[in-house]
Parts: sequence; C-alpha cells; structure tokens
Amino acid sequence: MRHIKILHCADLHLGSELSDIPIRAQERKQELLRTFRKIVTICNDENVDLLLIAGDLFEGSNIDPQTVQSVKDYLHELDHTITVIAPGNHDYVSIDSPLADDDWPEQTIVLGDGPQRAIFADRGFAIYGAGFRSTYVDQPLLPQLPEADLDLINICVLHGDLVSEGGTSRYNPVTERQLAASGYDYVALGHIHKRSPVYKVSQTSYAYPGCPDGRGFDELDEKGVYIGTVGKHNVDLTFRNICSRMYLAVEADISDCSSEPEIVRTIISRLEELYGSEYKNNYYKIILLGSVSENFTLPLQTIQDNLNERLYFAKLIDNTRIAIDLEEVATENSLKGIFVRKMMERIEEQTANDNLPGANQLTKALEWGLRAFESEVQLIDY
Amino acid sequence: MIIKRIHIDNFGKFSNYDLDLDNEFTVLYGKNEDGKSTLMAFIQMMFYGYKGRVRDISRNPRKRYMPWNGQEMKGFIEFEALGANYRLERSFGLSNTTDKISAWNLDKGEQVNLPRSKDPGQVYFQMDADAFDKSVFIGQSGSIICDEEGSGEITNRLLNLVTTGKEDISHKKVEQRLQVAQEAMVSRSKSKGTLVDQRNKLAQLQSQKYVAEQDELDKAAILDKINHMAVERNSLEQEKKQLEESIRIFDLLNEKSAYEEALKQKTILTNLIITQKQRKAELLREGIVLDQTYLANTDKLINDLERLERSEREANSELDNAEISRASLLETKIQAIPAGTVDSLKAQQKSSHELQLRMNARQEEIDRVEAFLALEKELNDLRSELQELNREYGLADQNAKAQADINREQNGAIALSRDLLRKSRQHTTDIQRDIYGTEASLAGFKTAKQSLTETYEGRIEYTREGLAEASKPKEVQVETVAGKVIGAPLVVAVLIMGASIALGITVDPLLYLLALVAIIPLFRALRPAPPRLIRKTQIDNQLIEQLTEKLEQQQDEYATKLTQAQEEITKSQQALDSLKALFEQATAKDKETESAIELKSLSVKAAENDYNEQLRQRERTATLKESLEKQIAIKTDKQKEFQVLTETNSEAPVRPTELNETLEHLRYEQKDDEIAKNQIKSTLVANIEELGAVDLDQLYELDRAWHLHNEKLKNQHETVEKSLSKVKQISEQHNSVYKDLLETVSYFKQVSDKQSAQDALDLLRGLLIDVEHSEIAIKTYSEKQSNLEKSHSADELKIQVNKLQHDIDQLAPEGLPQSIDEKQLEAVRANISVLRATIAEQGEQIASQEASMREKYRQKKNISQIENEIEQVRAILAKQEDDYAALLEASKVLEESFAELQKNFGPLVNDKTAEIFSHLTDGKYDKVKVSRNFDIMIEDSEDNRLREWSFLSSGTVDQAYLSLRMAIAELVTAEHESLPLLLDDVFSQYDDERALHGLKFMAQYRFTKNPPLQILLFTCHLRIRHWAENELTDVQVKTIV
Repeated sequence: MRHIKILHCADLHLGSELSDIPIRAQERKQELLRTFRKIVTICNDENVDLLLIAGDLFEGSNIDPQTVQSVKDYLHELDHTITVIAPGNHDYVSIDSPLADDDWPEQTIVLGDGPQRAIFADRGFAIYGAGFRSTYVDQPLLPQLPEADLDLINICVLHGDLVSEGGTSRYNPVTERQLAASGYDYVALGHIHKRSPVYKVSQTSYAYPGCPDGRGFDELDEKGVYIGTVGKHNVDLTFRNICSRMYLAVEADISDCSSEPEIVRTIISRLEELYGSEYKNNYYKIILLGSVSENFTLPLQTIQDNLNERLYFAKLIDNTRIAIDLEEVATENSLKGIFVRKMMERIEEQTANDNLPGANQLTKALEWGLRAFESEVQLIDY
Repeated sequence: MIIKRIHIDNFGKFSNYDLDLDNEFTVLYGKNEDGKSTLMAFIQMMFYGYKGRVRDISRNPRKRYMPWNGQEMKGFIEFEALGANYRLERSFGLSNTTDKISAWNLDKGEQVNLPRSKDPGQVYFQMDADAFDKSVFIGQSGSIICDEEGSGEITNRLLNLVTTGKEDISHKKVEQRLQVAQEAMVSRSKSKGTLVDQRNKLAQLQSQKYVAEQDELDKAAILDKINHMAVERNSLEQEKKQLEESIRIFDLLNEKSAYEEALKQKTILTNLIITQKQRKAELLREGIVLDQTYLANTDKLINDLERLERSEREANSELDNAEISRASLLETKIQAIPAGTVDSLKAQQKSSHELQLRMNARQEEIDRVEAFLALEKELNDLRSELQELNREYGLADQNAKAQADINREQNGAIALSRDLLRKSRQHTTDIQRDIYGTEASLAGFKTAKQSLTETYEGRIEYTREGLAEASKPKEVQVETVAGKVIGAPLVVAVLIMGASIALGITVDPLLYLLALVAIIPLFRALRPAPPRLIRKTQIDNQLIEQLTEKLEQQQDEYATKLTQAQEEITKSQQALDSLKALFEQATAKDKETESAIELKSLSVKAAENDYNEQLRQRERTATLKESLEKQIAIKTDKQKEFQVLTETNSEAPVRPTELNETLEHLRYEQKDDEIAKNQIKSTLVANIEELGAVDLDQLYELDRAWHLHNEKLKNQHETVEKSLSKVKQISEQHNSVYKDLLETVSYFKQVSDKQSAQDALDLLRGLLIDVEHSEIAIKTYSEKQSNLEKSHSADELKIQVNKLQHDIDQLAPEGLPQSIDEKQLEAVRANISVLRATIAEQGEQIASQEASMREKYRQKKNISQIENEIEQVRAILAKQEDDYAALLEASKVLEESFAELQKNFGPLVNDKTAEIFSHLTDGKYDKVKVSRNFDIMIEDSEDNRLREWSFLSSGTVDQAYLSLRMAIAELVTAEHESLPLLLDDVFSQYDDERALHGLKFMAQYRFTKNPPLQILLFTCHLRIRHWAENELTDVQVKTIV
C-alpha cells in the first residue's frame, strides 16, 4: 500500500513580541525563525512529501517584512516537498496579510481562497483545506470542503478549535463527527499550542502538534512537530522535539538555606538534577518554596541576577513562608500573637466552607502580615 | 525554669569558670572589668547565639568575647525546665549555623534532639531572642533615658515592645509596611501603582481590540469594494476585446497596404542605388575619380590662366609708361658745377674756421698767465708779513717761559715754608698734649698720695684700737677632762646585786638571776664621763704682740710709700714746667714763619699777573699769524689751480720769468694768425662769385639740383629694365599653366585649346550634377523609410504581404466585408482607447487602495494578537488583585488585632505596672495609666493629679521604667513557665533609700510567683552587696571573680 511522508506543524507565530523575557526577546525572535528553518531542513533531509502548516505561521500582518522574506527564502530551498499553509486566526488572509502576497514559491499552496482541493494524482494524494479570512470563523469549514477522492490519500489542513459535539467556538469549531464524516485519511490541525496525541475517529486520524518552540511560561516543556507517514486509512506519526530551548517552571525548596549563595547553589543543583548537563540553556521560572527564617529577608533581585549569570534566563517567584510556629505565636499576648490567632481562625473558617481560594488569599495575607513585622513587604513581580 | 550551673570553658576573660546557682534571689557582685557583662552575654549567647554579621567588635559578641587565651569559645549551662534537668553545651563557630550545640536530659542521661530551625532559647524559654532580650533580661533604664532621642522615645519603645514584641518596630511601622506595599499596587490617588497599571493596560487592550475589530470590518469592506472593482474591470476588458476583434480585418487590410507601400518604396530605392553605382563607375579614369574635386582643380587652372593673362597685359602697359618717362628726363637741361669745386671751397672755409678757434684758445691762455703773475705778487707780500709776525711770536713766547720759571721757583719756596710750618705746628700740638698728660699724671699722683694717706692712717688707727682692746683683761670658757661616771649607778648596781644574792639565798635560787639586772646600772657606772666647761679672766699677750708688730709694719710701709708718692709729684711738676717753656717758643716761631709765607705769596701773585699778560700777547700774535697763513693757503691753492691747468702744456714747474717770456711769444703768434685768416676769406669770396653765386649757400643749392636730376634718370633706366623682366616672367608662367590645363582636361576628353577645355569641363559638370541629384534622391528615400522598410528586407516584406493576404482570406473566406469608412473605424478605435484608459485607471485605483490599506494597517496588531495579550494581562491581573486583596485583609486584621490589644492588654499593663510601681515607690504613686494610645501617666497619691511620666524626676522615671518592664515581662511570659529574671544593675541610678526599697521589693516579688522566681541581679555597687548581706534575708550574694 502506498504511503506518503508528511511533517505536520502549526502555530509558529513568527514575528511575535515576547513580553515574558524582555532581555532575550530579540534573540528569541531569531531562534523561532531558526526553528522554522530546522523544519525545512528536516523536510529536505528526510525526503518529506508534504509540509503541512496548520495556521498561525505568522503572529500577525504587522510583522517585519524581513521575517516574511526569510520564510519565503527557506521554502524556496525545498526540492521535493510541497508546502501547504492554512491561514489561521492570527495570519488570516486579508489584503495586508503576508499570505496574500503573490510571490510565494511555486511549490507552496496557500489556502487563501475558501475551501479548496489540490490533487496530485501523480504522487497519489490530494490536499484539502481552507484558510481563515477573518479573525473569527464561526461557521465550521470542514463540512464545506470537497469530498474525499477514494483513489487517493486525502490529507486535510485546517486551523480550528476541536469542540465537543454541539459545542461552539469562534475559531472554526471542529467536531469528531465532522472529522469522521470527512473521509480524509489525516486532518492536520492547528490552534491549540499544547500537543495532542494522534487520535482516530472512523477512518480519519487527526492531531494537534502544538507549537514547535515555546514563546512564554504558558508554553512549557518540550515542543515540536509530528513527522511520519500517512497511508490510506492509517497513519504512522511520531512527535519530534525540535525546540531550540524549553520554557520551564521549576519549584525549589530553600527551607534549609540561610544565605544567598546557598540558595543559588540549591537551585542550580536542582536544575542540574532535572535537566542534566544542558540545564543552562533553558528559560526558567523558578518558584521558591519552603520556609525561611523571619529574620532573613530574601535578596530576590540578587539571587535572580546571580542565576542569570549562570543560566540563559531565570525569573524568580517567591512563594516561601516564614519559618515560625504559628500555633506557638498564636498563644502570645502580643499584637503578632493576636494577628496570627485571628488570621488562623479565618483561614479555618474558609477551609471549613470549602472556599479554597479564600483560604489561600488569607494564607497570603497572614504571610505578608508576618513579613511586615520583620521587614518591608516584597511584592511578586509576575 | 531555673538556671542551676554555668560552666565556661573559654569565653572572653573567663576560662574554666564555674558558677552554681539556686532558685533564689541572687546578687552577683563584681567590680567593673570583673566580667559581669561577659557572664550575662554568655547566658544569652548560649541560648540564642548571635545572628548578626556586624564588623564592629564592640557590637558583635562573637568577636568581642573571643577567649583571651585563644582557645575554642565554649561552655555549658545546666538548668531545670519543663520538669526536667538539662545541660546545654555549645561550641561557638563563626555563625549560628556553624555553632555546635547539644542538649542533654540529665535525668534520663540522653541527648535531646533540638529542632534545627529553632534556637535553644526558643525551646526552653519559649520566646525568641528579641523577646528574651526585652522581657526576661531587664537592663538599666539609664542607657535608654540618656539616649539622644530623649525620654519620649522610651514610651514608643515600650509601646512597640508591648505591641510587636520588638522595641524598634511599632504597630505603625508594620501597618506602614503593609500600606507601602498596597500603595505600590494602588496609590492613594488610585491613579498609579502596578495593579492600576495592569488595569489600565487591560482597558487599553480592550479598547485596542475594539479598534482592531472595526479595522477588520473596514478591511473586509474595502476588500469587497476592491473585488467589485476587479469584476468591473474584467467586464471592460471583455468589451474591449470584442471591439478589437470587430475591427481586426480592417486592421489587417491596413497593415497589408502598409507592407505593400513599404515594398514599393523599397524597390524604388534599390533601383536608384544601382543606377548611381553605374554612373560612378563611368567617371573613374586611370585610377582618377572625375568628381567635384577634379572639377575644382581644373577650374582653378582656368582661373590661374586668366589671372596670368591679366597680369601680362598690365606688365606691358607699365613698360610703355617707363620708357616714356625716361625719354622725358633725357630731354631736360641742367647747369653743371665742376667736380671738386664745392669741396675745395668747403676746405677753405673750414681752415678759416679752425684758425679762428686756435686764436680763441690762445687768447684764453694769455689771460690765465696774466692772472697767475698778479697772484704771485700778492703772495709774496703776504709771506713777508707772516715772517714778521713769526718773529714777534717767538719773542713773546720766550718771555712767557722765563716768567713761568721764576713763578714756579717762588711757589716751590712757599710750599717748602708751608710744610715746615705744618710740621712746626704739629710739634707744638704734641708739646701741648704732653702738657695735658703731665698735668693729669700730676693730679693722679696727688690723689694717690691723698688716698694712701687716708688708707694707711685708717689701718694704723684700727691696729692701735685693736692693741688698746687687747691690752684689756677678758673672761673665757675652758673645757676640762672629767674621768669615769661611777656614783649613783654603781650604787644601784650593788644594791641590786645584793638584793639578788639575798633573795637567792632566802627565797629561791632562781632569784640570783636578778643579778643580771644589775649589769645595766653597772654598765652605766663604768662608761667614761662627758668633758666639762669652766669660766676664768686673762690678757691675751700673744695678741698684743702680734698687733704691735703689725702696727710697726704698717707705719714703715706708710712712710716708704708716702715718700715715693711725693717724689713722683715733684718729677711731674718739673716736667710740666719744661714743657710749657717749649710750647711758648714753638708758638712764637710758628707765627714768624706764617708772616714770611704771607709776604712771599703776595710777590708770587704779582709775578703771576705779569706772566698772564705775556701769555695773552702771545695768543693775539698767534691769532694774526693764523689769519695770514689761511690767506697764503687760499692764494697758494689758486696758484696750484693755475699750475694744474698749465701742467698739460709743460711738465716743469712754472716760473714767473718763464711765464713772462711765454706771454710775449703767445701775443706774436696771435697776431700772425689774424693776418692768415683775412687772406683765406678774400680768396673764398672771389671763387664763389666766379661760379655765378652770391654766396656759398647758393652755390650748394645749384650743385644739389644737378645731382638730383642725374639720380632720377638713373632710376628710370632701372624701372624700364624691371618692367621688361616682369613681362617675360609672366609669359613663362602662362605657358606652364596652359599646358597643365590641357593635360588635366585630357583625362576626361582630348582638348587642344582653352575654349575646347572649358567646353569639356562644362560637360563634366553636367554629369556630376546628375550624380549629385541621384545621391540626394537615395538619401531622401532612405530617410523616408518606414519602420517596416527598415526592419524588413524586400523578400520579408513580400512574405508578410502574402501572410497578411492569407490571414485576410482566412478571416473573410467569402470575400471582404463591406468596407466601413475611416470615420466609423476611428470611432471604434476611440472607443477601444477609452476602454483601455478606464481599465488602466481602475487598475491603478485597485493598486492604490491595496497600498493604502497595507500602509494603514502595517503596524497594527490584529484581534488575535490583542486577545492573547489580554489573556496574559488578565492572568497577571487576577494574581495582583488577589495579592492586593490579601494586603488589604492583612491591614484590616492587623487593625482589629491592635484594637483588641488595646482593649485587653492595656488595662493589664496598667494594673500590673501600677502594682509594681506602688511597691517600688512605697505607695507614693499607686496609679499608672497607660492610655489607649499608650501614653503613660502617673497619679500622685498626695494630690491625686495625673502627670505625664516624662515630667517626673529621673529617679521616679527609672522606677516607672522598671515597673513597666517587669509588668510587660510578666505579661509577655504569662503563658509560659516562670522564667528567671535577669536584672542588669537596675538600681544603679536610684538614691540609697529607693535602691534599698527596690531590693527589698525584689526579694518579696519573687514569692508572688509559684514556684518563686529565680532572680539574678548583676551589680557593681558595694551598697547593693552590703544591703543584700546585711539588710535582707533569703538573698544569696556571690562574687564574680
């Protein structure tokens, strides 16, 4: 049975402004572009038939022209691979969209003119898809696409939001029933930045590959593409991590530390333990946990500066608690004693009422109140 | 809790030190430097260590109490707590984390696991280091009262202690910190802060999103419009296409006509070119091109030939004229002057003129010789006069010199006399000085004699008085030798000896020893007696003898010295008299010398006057002589001038006699020349008149006219010759050019003369004009060629015509359509052109719309981008809102806590402080009011007036402070096991009465607790120790050593 080789990626958001890492933003923009180049190189090296880009290749229409030109140049380098780009809600086809340009390489298909089909009979497959022509696409696109050609391997590329049956979305709602009814062999989806497994409904397989490289601390851990073969009614795709660096959120307990160097050592050894010798190259959000002495004011900025000398990027979130025996303090006949007593009563009350957010907020109030007895209150810089 | 034993291995000055304590009120006395502070620091360090890292040694106990012996800082404390006995051991490192701490339960004999996060003090005292420091450990108030911040600060500090457990952090401070954090999020004006910024950011993003939505609608609308325009444009394109097809056949016919016309023109041009080539070939002879250049050359030859013919005619005419002029000159007659006549007459006139010049020169010489001779005579007269004057001058000079010699001699004599007089006067002055010296010596001698007399007379008188006194008898003391003292002591010794013997015999033999007592008086009796003084009357003869001898000696000495003095006086007097006589003689001699000098001086003055008159006479003579010499010099110069003039004629000096002869000779010659001149003049006049002229000038004029005529004739001969030569030369040139012309023209056509040559050339000129006309025609045709002609060859044009014919046949197989006129065709074309313009305009409009849209939205974010940002901002905002709510909650609960503290804790502090204060002041103040704001007021029991405590005496303030501190300590530790109270010399500022009272209160106070409190009072005051030992019971006193 004939198979074709595909590489499925989505949501690259090239040209994004990266507010999470202001000091590294420019470098990161270049890294995202290099990741796209890596995708093109894989296609060439591994003789990929189809490169499927399921929307949001660009962050918007307002990105710099050099980025667009670089993408076109890279796609020009493909010898064997046909590229299919389905515009998404970020790079929908409009008059000012780079995807509306008429100088895309010949082997690149931009699905900009409504539901489309492109048949490559000589290579045994047909492409289906439709692009966004505005931010919101309330009417599902999938049912509008042409019927599958039973003699060919049918591959669909769409940017859309997978919803349950009867669910709605402003971003091209896609349901399993639509997928099953399509008769396509593989539906390459984009829009959701977190990778999904490869699902199969009826004869149709579908998946979200997630974004191939993170852009903030809401896109954590490994990122990449799906690559593999698609045949008639079956797929063999595997996830490949191709991100240049990972965004990682790491918790570090510094209860036993009493000085800034000790805290830095603890954090570094924790990262080394988790991520091995390459630990230095990632973006870290380090959440400090544990209890510290009431007399010890955490030098957060110094610790962060110190970490940034050793790591590519690090940001600290202080979630530590003051190391005191609340029960004991609550017995004191002092302002602090009364304060703790009252706070604990309220927390218990909220907990009893199953109001966890309320209890958490009061716990924070208690913590900050206690810190105010010792030193200035340090707010968290999110 | 009770501290039972303190052991210090090494800590500050202490080494291997032990202090055992009981559950008592213990006064620990030590002088300054004994280690009181070290001991207190040890207790605190054992339980809490030291967490600071202060570099100042005085403020860092780890450094301050480094063992003096250099050993490891360590020790242990044994205590009873929570119902068991413990030992806490601690070796001090660099920080609390490096300290080695171990605790042992002594009752069980096992080690206790202390939590790492807690100090031992927190475990056993159940309070942190600050609370311990400020409650259990009570220091002197003086240190705070004397603080620069003043007593008002104490209130605040205590207030803080009560409220926050720390003196340096107030409730307000805690509240302020929370407030600062809140204001960092939301400022008081609610216009700034991180939370406000985030809210604003969200609002801005939502606003941006609204704009982006509008933009997207606008973009969609414009896109529709553009699409509509594109559809319209396509429609116009179709219309244009149909019109273009409808006129296609007419276009083809037109095109075919154009090709045919092009072909026709191209054929004409080609034929012209071929004909021209043939003509040009015909005009090529023996390699020579018969073109315009050739024609121009032959024309030039004809022109040259005609010019030479004209020149030839002119030259013949000139020759004829010259021959006519020469014949005319030959006919004219002119008188001839014989050759040499005029020159001979000129020579005669010249010699007459030269003779006259020589005569003039000679006359000048005659005049000069005559002048010279006159000058010579004047000069001789002057020289004679000068000679006379020289003689007179010599005589006057001789007289003056003789007078000068005389004067010099007389002046020498006067100078000698004056020198002698000066020396004589010096001598007189010396004599006078000697007189003064001698007079002074004489006076000295006289005074010396007077002094000698007074001295010796005094001495002699004194010696005489001594002698008279020595001759009188006197009473004197004489020392005598007294021998041994025996009397009373010996008796006593004997009596004692006797009594001892008697008693030894009668009473007890031991009493013989009393005999030893007798040794003392016996010893006194046997020692030598002291010498004695006695008085008696006597005359000192020895002294009389000495004085008598001395008197005699003095009298002899006096007489001798007096005689010597008198002799010296006499000598001086004689010398003085002699000197005075000499002085008078010398004075007389000096006067005589002076008179003689004066006389001589008068004589010399007269002689000098004469001499001066002689000098003036000599001077006048010299002046005259000088004048004469100048005149002689002037005339001599004039004579030399003459000589210079004559030197050209003669080398020998001129002498007057010779000059007179010369003068005579010159006058003869002058006369001879005058005669010769007159003869020449007569001859000259006769010759001129003979030639028919009036004078010599007229003769010259006649001679010049004859010569001029001869010259003209000669010139005319030459002119005739030249004209003949020119005619010949032109004729030769004409023949040469004529020959060239015939030869040149023969290339085109054989000719024999000029006319036939000109005819042949006219024929050639006609041919060349034809060639030229053909050339112009070719050029015109070439320039007029259409693009079709240029870009196509004739064959190609033929093919294209055939092709077009074929297309036309294809389009209209059944024959050509009915032709439309050009006007209609033009109308269709105009319509197509309008359509084309409209289509282009619409294309531009579409491009413009697209470009302006791209430009308008180039930098703008789209809805999805903004939504992403909104999502991020919302996530942060939610966290910040939560944080802010937590801060507000913390502030609220803190306020509530503070209110409760004020409500509950305040009265307790009041009561407890009042109770202790009343005890301490022995009932003088029994009420202390700590207000809701913790202002402390004290009520005086005598007048029931409330006073703010800072206005009371310092002693009372100290008592109030201690009361308050103890009250707070009691309240702070109320929930805990009784803790030892460590007091650091709390009574040091009290007067004796208050201090004793305070001490007694403490002794009682410990029993108010059950079990009684352990109180350790550290003091360096002896009075406290004394009272503790003597005035109180149940108080232990220990000395820190």
